[in-house]
Amino acid sequence: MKNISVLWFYLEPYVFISEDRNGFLFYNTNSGKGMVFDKNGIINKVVKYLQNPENMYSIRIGVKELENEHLYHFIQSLQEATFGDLTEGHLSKPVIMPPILNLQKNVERLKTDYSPLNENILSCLHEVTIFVNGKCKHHCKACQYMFKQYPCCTKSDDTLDFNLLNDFLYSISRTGASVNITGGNPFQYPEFDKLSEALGKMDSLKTYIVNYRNIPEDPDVLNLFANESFRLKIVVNDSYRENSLVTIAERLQQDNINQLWEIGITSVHECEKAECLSERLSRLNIEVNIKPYYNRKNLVFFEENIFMQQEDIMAVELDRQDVFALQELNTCNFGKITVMPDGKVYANINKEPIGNIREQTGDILCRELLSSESWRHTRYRTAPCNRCRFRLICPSPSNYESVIGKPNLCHVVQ
Amino acid sequence: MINYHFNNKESFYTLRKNYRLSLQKTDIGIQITKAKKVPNRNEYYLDRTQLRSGHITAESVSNQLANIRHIVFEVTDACNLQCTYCAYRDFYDNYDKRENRYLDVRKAKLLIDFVFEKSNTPANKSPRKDILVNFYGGEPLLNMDFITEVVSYTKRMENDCVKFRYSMTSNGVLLKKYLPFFIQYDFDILVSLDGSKENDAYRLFHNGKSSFDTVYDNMIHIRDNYPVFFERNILFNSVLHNLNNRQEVFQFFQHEFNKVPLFSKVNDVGIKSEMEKKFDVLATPGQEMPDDKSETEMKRVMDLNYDKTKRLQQFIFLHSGNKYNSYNDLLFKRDNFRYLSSGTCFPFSRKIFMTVNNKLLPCEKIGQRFSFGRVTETGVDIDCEEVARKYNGYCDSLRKLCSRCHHVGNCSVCMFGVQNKEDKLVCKSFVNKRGFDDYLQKGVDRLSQNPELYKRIVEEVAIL
Ligand code: SF4
Ligand code: SF4
Ligand code: SF4
Repeated sequence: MKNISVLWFYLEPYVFISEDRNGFLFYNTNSGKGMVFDKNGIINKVVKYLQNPENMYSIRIGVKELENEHLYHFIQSLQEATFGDLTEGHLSKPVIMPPILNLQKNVERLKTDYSPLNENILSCLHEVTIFVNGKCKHHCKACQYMFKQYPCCTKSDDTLDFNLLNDFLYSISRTGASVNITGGNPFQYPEFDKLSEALGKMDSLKTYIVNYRNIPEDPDVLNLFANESFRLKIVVNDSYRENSLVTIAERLQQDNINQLWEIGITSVHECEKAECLSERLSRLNIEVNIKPYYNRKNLVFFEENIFMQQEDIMAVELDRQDVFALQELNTCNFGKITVMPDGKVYANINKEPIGNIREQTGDILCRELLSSESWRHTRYRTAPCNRCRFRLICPSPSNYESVIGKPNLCHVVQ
Repeated sequence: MINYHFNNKESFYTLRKNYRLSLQKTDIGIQITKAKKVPNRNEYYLDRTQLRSGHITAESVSNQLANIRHIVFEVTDACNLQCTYCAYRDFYDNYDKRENRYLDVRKAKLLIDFVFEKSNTPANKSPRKDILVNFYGGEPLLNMDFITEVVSYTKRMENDCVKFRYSMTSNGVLLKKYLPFFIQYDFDILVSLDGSKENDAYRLFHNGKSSFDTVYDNMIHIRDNYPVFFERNILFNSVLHNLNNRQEVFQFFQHEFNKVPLFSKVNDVGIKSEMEKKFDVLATPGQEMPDDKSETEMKRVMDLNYDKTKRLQQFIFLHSGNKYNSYNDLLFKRDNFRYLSSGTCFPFSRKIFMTVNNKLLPCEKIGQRFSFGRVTETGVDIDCEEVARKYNGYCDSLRKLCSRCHHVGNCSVCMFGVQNKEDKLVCKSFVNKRGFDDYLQKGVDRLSQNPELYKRIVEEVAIL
């Protein structure tokens, strides 16, 4: 073989590069693996060159240059992990298209093109949570916290007008969006039967979210949940007796009711307790989720157990579509809205309302798309995440960030 | 061996080689060794028949009907010109016989009512929308009563949510006469003109005389008297054939009207077999000058719309894996998604076309035998089950051909244009493995000659 003195090094089209002050993150969406490199003179130069889309993801490198330890390590490890490869320098330049998203209906583009934003807007709706009332006779400690972190009941003074609700449900009846109904105690909603009848006409999944203490004794009321498209999500918070909960679950199961359980926890101790319950329920083939929630006193619990370390983030396996999605939208929030008993509509319950149930649903959704508050709230939009290289693969900001009041729940950037 | 290979699963191409160069540090410096390596074919394996085994359902057709935003009326099949290459003339055998008929405005209104009522159901995903009404012919201006009646009818229907916009395709002969009306209703008008008088010589009156002077004078009249309307609302379409070419046509429109026309080919669907040779001569555009200064000017003026750049853009969109249409496309996985055969669009997703014989078609460009419904005395008759059945039937008949084709998965061919020759389906865009490799290499070459366009195209171009 002729001596090779020059090489082409190219990156695969499924490799993303992101950087911050300290270094680079290379992420391979084919293998779901990431690699980090510190910034240093020569690597900096090579990466800068590769990052320029005009260079079509390939660079000419003299074999002599590889005597530089950093460059050698850089090229070799990327090649080893199939992030890129080498060809002979006398061959034509490899032409690879780097991954840059072209989102045809990007709102930012539509804004400037004055194209109709509302085209197909209802197809963006995927999940609606409706608080039909605020009535409840219990006094859970978590009442004012949990519902701001994920869909679950909360007490308030209002009751949603049924006619308005009915019109609203009709307007979204062909979107396929799933519907969550909660309260207070939704079983005490004055128009409960009419509501259930209206929901029965929609073919999407309907979930009633209730605290375990609000499950009615009367089996007839629960008949509804024997229907495939309805289910009962039972929320557990505060103190509970495991045996009595298992008894409830068994009773519901005998009545063929579609049930799933959600156990809120605030500490390691509660988590352990929840795991015992979860194990017993799982034995009955019942789906159970354990959900931590912030109660203003358990920051340490969050810091120790929920906040992410660099290893946690690097362990995330994403494909190309996932990485693009994180750039443009909030993958937890997108397509979700919440209606409160006073008729106000939220894209995210921790932010300002985006409208009122009296308005055209499409108009409300357009407003949310135009703003970047919730559906399009990404790590790229707020500090310090927008200055962190891991924003490329870091999960979208969630409600925990909002309630804790810290934009990044990680130990990567302080 | 090094070549480019397309990964169908994730829709991007990459380089593939059957050896590997490895680096090694030794006492005498960096050593490079070359070792054979079998490319992992599994990585690229794709069951093409599976991928294209998609079907449509009656329910989705019905939903689509609630989302129509473009109605096209074949106002009349009569025309005051008799162009040599017109789809109704000697070359073709796939159209309904031309009988100088005029579309019944009463029935057209039934279609409008249908679209409007459907828009008022929750299956309409765009509660506020503009519906574009397009008047098409023959020559629509021969049935001006129809146009004015439809415009006043739709204007009366407008409400907070639904608005109407209008457009027309015309040969421009009668335009001057009705101009105030079109200005009043802000019509977009696509005028057919093939360039200079010599270029335009196939566009003839019935007596065989050229129509050029009349149309040209009309355009000058509009340009000089209604410059804003001319600039914003008048577009030109030029058919390329053996009496013109892109460069000449471009020069003509630039210098006469400071405009860039749309270029189109002579319609090549449904050519009678005995006319094929003659047709080929006519349909092949005249020779262009490779280094002509007009080519440079064209590139500059048209920028990202320059046809060669557009070809590059299409290549990038199909083969970079970077193009997504909507936020939903980013959010939801398509792992088990099954595409339809070919690249045909979903019926009625672009428009609904009503012919002069009251047939309903998904598009004006396809043969009229592919009718998917009709307007009767009492209303619109579209049987969604039947539409889905027919449509799936066409897809099924193509599946065998498409599953052998390497464009499958990123095809943009409309199945209604695939010819049935002696009971065999023939698709002009079919490629085998080798053809596809060549095509890929050509695309890559084009990209390597214009690398500066890559970023601009992915960042700037929206084709929706
Ligand atoms: S059951 Fe729900 S609404 Fe009632 S107090 Fe507890 S958390 Fe609040
Ligand atoms: S949360 Fe923000 S700062 Fe922390 S790793 Fe993710 S992107 Fe970086
Ligand atoms: S190019 Fe023709 S044969 Fe190939 S997939 Fe498309 S329609 Fe089928």
